[in-house]
Amino acid sequence: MALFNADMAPNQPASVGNGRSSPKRGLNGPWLFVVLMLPSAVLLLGIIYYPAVNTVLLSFQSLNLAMPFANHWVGLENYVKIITNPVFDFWHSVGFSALYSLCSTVVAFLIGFAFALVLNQRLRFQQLWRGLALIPWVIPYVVVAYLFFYMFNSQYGIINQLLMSIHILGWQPFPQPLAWFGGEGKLAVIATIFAAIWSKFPFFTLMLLAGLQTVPHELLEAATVDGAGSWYRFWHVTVPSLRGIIVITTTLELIWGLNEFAIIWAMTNGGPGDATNNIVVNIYRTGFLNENISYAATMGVIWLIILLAFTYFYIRIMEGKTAQ
Amino acid sequence: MSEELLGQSARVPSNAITQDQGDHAPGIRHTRTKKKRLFSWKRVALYVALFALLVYAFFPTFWLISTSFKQQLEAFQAPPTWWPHTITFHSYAILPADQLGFVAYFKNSLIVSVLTTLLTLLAATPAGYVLSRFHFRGARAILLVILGTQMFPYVTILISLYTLFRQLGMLNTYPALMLSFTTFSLPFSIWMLKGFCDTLPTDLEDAARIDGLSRLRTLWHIVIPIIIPGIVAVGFFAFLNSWNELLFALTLTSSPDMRTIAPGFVLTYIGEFQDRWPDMMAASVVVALPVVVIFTLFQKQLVSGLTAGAMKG
Repeated sequence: MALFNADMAPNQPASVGNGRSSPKRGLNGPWLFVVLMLPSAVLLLGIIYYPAVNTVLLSFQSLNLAMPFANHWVGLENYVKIITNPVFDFWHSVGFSALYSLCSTVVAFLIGFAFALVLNQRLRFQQLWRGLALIPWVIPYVVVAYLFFYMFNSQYGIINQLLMSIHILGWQPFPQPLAWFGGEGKLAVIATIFAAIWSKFPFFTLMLLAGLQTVPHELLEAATVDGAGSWYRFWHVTVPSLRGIIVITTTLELIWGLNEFAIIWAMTNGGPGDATNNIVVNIYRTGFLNENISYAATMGVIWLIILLAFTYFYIRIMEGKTAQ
Repeated sequence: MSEELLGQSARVPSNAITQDQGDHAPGIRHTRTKKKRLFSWKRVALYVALFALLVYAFFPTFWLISTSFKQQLEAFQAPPTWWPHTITFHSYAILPADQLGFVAYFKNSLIVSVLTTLLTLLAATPAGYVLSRFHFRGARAILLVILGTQMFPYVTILISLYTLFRQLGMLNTYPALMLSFTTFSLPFSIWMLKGFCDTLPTDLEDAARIDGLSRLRTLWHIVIPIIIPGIVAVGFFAFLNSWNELLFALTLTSSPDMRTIAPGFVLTYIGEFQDRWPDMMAASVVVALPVVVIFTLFQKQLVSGLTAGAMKG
């Protein structure tokens, strides 16, 4: 920023006597690029790339914060341990991360899309409905987590209450209150996903709603003139024009979901047992609660590789579809 | 509950919408015919779907607010009560008394979030602009490198940031929190602002340059005023992220007086006061309020900025 201001200050353009600048006045060309990129470049290198490289280095060592001076190089030993030894719960936590992210993103996308389609109609008090629909988005994750934790409480939670009140022709699917955060933890998985869906769907609504407003009317009209039904128009006009937005929003939400921490940690601490131990919770437990920094770093590096591969193929597939 | 809503709404509105758009496109005459059959089944289905979705969207928030006004015992009643029997402001009244460190958490979160937002904007705005305007091959590579970081699991970075800040004695400081929070807002912000700048025609800038403005002055006087919606959107995003952040804040702070809201909640309410639901809900309402207020104030710029950036990027 200092550089930026320094150039702003002199009022006479001619006085910017940087010998390096192009014949035109002021900063220009490559130097302009460098100067304006500088703050971001420094930050990206310092707080993202340098730490990332350092994490890779840590994964080949045996750093334990309880005994920091016993640190030495161990080669690929950590990788072998993490991948083969079930004690680390690595593959299970990868699996749970994938399940959590996929389920919450898909369902949140469907709800968000439905909401966007409804809100795209002419409605009374439209702005009010839009505002209400977006509220979950701005509620902090920790609050979402505790709110759902409270609502899912087995004794006095409203969700058990609602479930138990279901009577369909004398058939009661849930006669007993469910212990959402007990037992093997299958229900805890559902509870965390449920909370995630609620906190995610407004992002889809917001983006898809904006996208819907750019769907060209001429195209829809042309399709109508050609005798296309509404269902056909939806699939062949509306959805294709939204493809770009759909790819971007789902990619982002999938990635964010794969790296979720706040909702899961605040709701369940990864429990009961290891049931909701997703990869980030696993790394946090390993590295910061048990102080095994190098094991955590190893998990992080494997996870990074998995994510980069996933993103590469996902975008490839989606772009391939767009090209058709 | 959600499956039911979903099944219903996914089908109904999609029919309704395309029909509707086809209808009002041709012009006024059709709108009038539409008024005649005001009570169409499609409208009814539309409002039913809207109602179901709104219940889903708003119910947890309602529950949050309702519980925050309940008395301690009432929050434990089974079956739970929908409205507080006796409305009490007790849970709100005790917040400023700082019993749970709430004021400190709030202050810390505010400071760190504002600093993070400023840092992100100062770095991302010029970067987004030049990446949008320069098209040499290296620029594209740089953009890919920045986009790639969006896919980084932050926990991978955190492991090293933690050891680094520990060595530097920077744990429990605002700069450590600010810098680490910037890791996830910066790449996304650059990318969004680049996308936003892409949507703007270069005519104005060219004209300004012909009139003798330097590129930096053009950026300051011409470009920035136009991209305000994008800046607002990105700023809001950075603020929201910092306000929400749990993992980094939990790891990088250990002393209670440096905690931000998220770790403060986790460590305070769950540890010692696990069962004080109304108090926690009241604190939650207060925590959510600043974001809701900012969102409502800037909603217009926010939506246009976010979507323009994402669609083009």
